[in-house]
Amino acid sequence: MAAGSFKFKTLMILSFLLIWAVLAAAHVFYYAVIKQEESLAETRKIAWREAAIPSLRGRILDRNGIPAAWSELHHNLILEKVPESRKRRENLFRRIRRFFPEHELPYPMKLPLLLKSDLSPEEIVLYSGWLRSYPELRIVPVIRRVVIGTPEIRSQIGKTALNNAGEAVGVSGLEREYDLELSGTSGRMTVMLDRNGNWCNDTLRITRQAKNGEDIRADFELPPETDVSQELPENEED
Amino acid sequence: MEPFKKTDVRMRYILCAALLALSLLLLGAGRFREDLTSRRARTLEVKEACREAVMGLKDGIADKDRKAWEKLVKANPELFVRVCSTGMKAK
Amino acid sequence: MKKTDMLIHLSGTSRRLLPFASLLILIIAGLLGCLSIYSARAFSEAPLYFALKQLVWLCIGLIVFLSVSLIPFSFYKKTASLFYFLSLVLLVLVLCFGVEINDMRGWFRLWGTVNVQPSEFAKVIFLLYLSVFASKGQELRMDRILMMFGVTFLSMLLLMLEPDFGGALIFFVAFIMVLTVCGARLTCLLAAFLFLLTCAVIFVAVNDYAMIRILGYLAPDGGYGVDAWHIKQFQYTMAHGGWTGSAWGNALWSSAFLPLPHTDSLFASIVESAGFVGGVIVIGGFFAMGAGFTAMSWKVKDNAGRIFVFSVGMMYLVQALIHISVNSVLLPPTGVTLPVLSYGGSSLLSIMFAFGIAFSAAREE
Repeated sequence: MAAGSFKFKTLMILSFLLIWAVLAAAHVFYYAVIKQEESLAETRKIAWREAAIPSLRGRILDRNGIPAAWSELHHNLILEKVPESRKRRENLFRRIRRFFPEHELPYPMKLPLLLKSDLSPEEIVLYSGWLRSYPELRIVPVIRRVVIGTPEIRSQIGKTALNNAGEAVGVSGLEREYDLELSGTSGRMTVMLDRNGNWCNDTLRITRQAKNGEDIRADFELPPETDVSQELPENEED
Repeated sequence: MEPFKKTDVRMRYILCAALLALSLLLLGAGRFREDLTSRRARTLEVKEACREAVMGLKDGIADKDRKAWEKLVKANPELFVRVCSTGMKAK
Repeated sequence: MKKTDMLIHLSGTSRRLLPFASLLILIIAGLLGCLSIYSARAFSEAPLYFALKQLVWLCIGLIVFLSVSLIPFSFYKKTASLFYFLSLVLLVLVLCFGVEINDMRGWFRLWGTVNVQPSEFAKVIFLLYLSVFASKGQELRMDRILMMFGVTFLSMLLLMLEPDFGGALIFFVAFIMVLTVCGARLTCLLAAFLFLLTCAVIFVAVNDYAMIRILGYLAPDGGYGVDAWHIKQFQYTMAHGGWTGSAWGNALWSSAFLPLPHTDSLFASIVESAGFVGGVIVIGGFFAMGAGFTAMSWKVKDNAGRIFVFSVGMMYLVQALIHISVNSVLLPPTGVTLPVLSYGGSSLLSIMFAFGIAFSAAREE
């Protein structure tokens, strides 16, 4: 093989590859610079989420300072969606059946499915380990308004209901009259989700801290024998 | 090892370029370290904000669980923000 | 002596220093690879896991490079056929006893999480065998071209059965390079490309996923499932890079959305970290590597040696260009890694092995 001919052929191949490299660089330029804004706007819609951090509604105290109405925070574990892949679905169902044998898990099923209510803090940590593998599961907060006392007192306290934003507002009685004082301000946060719907590490930002509502003191007096077990959940908010 | 001859200019260029690239890499590593430090500081700030956000809900926790809640929130503030957040929607 | 010849003239000292100067460049490239891998996984659960493993492979790889480059090239010429036969046996064995990773049966499990991909080493040995075979005799006759074609077809078939079309494509690239520099006629080259096209059509017809990939590439917004989604992610990842990138260790989109950001999608991740400028530097770096190997091949006196030195540089340059083109949405996804920079012990060791043989050929007086 002649050295001159070899050089010529190698230079020819190299020139062809140079054109290819320039084309690839041009493509990178198009997507990284020219189409940048358009693509970034799409990614913001896909990945970035905003959520509320609930605040607690203020308590209603009797004239002696004993709480007659207050809010309690509970957590439930729910199955929000069923995994599309058969393998993942079966693995998840197997796990659920092992921990919660009371659920038969027919497929298809009515969703969301409540798997366990009133999780303790330890259970929250335990089940949150599942969320990374199965983002179809969710731990959701539930705020219950607890009202105690005689029927007359409860009627005087009144009721709350959830507004469109999912916040409790007073609809009758003292709850309505002092709604402004009792209502808190929910906090705001932003986070980026990955392709599986998991929260990305280091992307969580608290943009506004929640502020709980103020307590108010009413004129009535709770009877001494009032038992907290008489509590009556007035509403639940998620 | 023999010293470079005058005809070894190309080799000297290669070595100089390699050393320059190595220096740039080290410089980059330095900046990278700075980035890591500032990211760690930012993470701590976020953790503190999360802790504050979730501790505000402490009064709503049942008495029997309150101690465990405080302890676990301190250790996993982001996790508790996640389980307390509601109404997630696109920004 | 012509000016170009003066420029590429290597004196005796240079010849001895060549592997060490190259070693320095390889160390820098390898470290850049580790940095890129770290950046691609910076927001994952274990950001340093792959980068540190790659660092270990890099250290082993550098030892392999030095050791292999110190063995005379005549040894490789003598043993090329034997090694080629052994590599074929390994490619058959991996189909029977290999483990499946990412839907591909192409790895042997050695221990724990350490797997070896024999096709990575097979492609280097295949190229060596082809170079030695093509260098025999003055002219490349048709019967020898057909023999080379048969050898290529056999290797490609074994890879397509894994199924690894990307890997098979690199074997084809090696074949074309050798064929071109050995002076095969244009009709032969056209026939070879026709063969590749036929292989590609059969592969796409047999593997549904390949068809979906092509459809996804042609219409990324057309709802062709995961593959179209993958192409959109390449676009989004590069958009996050802009001109100068979002800094090393800050490749958030790669970590969160890009599939295999440390291997098959590494270039897009580098663009996210270092921007368009960083992307161009990587492309330029690979092109400089190709040009370096070309210049080096001009000075090699042994026929097999110069064919190998040139082809090995071109094979990895083309592999890099395929990877970059896939990541910059110029080509449909093929599952090819970025040489030296992408994570993968087998890939890195085989590159060091190939470069070692090339430098052994270049050093031979």
